[in-house]
Amino acid sequence: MIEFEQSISNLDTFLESPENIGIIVGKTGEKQLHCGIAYKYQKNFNAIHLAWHCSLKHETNIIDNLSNYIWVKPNEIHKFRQNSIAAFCRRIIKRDTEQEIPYGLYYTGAVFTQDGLLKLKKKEIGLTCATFVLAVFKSCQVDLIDIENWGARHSDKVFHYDILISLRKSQVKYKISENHINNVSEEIGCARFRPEEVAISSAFKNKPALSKVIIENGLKLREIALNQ
Amino acid sequence: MIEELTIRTDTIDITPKRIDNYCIFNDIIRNNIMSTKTILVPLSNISSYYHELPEDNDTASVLLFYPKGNKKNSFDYVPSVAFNHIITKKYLFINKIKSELNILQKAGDIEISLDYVFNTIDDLLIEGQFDLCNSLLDNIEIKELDINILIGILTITSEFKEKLYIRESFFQKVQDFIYDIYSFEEAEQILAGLE
Repeated sequence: MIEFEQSISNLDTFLESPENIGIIVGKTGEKQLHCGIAYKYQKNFNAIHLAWHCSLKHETNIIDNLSNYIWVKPNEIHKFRQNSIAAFCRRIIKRDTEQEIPYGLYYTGAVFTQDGLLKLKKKEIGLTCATFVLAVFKSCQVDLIDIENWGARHSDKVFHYDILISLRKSQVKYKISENHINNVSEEIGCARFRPEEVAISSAFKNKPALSKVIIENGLKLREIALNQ
Repeated sequence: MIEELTIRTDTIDITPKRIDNYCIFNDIIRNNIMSTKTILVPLSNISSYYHELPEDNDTASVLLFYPKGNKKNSFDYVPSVAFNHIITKKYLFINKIKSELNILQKAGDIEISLDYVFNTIDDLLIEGQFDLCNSLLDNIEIKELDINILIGILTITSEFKEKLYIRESFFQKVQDFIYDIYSFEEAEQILAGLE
């Protein structure tokens, strides 16, 4: 169980909090949320998130891009482990010029290897913003969600089709190959890990929490994040 | 005879890895002996670094073996003073890392210490310097290091459990240390998933 209200705060409270990391979640479209990982470095705010196809972002300013975001406190992730996760995020940023993280829907447990480079599993072709967060935590031996028992929902397809449209629209700008878009289209209908669900999963004492409980609390978080 | 060229202890350049039945874990040796011949060191207190030793190994303190001709199971050996130098260099390298960690730790900046741990150990792992990494884990004085650094080391090495055979005993030492300091529940929280 979680104390829901106490686990969520506006992002401007992050630096004053005793936590060193947190999962940020905020509105990116009318009904769409986005997520990433916030961490402290030298007492300053930092965030890392997969914005889009081959577009890993490192933010150091809340005001510019994340003003309406909230963050979820990683309850029961010990401070020592939080520091390692933050160091791992810095490692990924350091290697960012050596890799481009493609966008992909199907996730079965890809991790970043210890050198900060993404290692996709069989049949995976990339990550979403949410599976990027899952992959970072998994790389640090923290399983936020029981991915093997996370089922596909009918509504997942709606999001998948929207993503496909967005990929096509941004194909030129982001230099997305036709082949990659075709591969993403073959992933339509797979299980979707939503930003709000990944974010709230970090608040549970026993990780990974039951999928049903994560989904229920994810809906509550979604309401709050969309109304910021 | 074995060619003993200039000894390198840096880990920047990677020589092509030779894979054969007698390939050894000692990356320092592998990188320093620019030869196609295989080297095995049957010295009892360091033999654990190597995964295959001839049964009839000599009792000499240090021996370098190499295959005779094309017969992989046939060996000649020569005592080598150079090997002692290599081992010394290896521990100098490890001591340099330990010393750097102590300096950073004393400066009190955990984030920079962790970045140093992640970068240094990562570099060793990426280059396949597993023996050096094993030696480092073997030589770390648990009680001298901040727990953040110990947890960082366990985190960064977790994907290489199979190759870092010292990691298991390192984990045990860290575990004992943490259980001595923290309550059972908090210790479990600190170590969850790292074994």
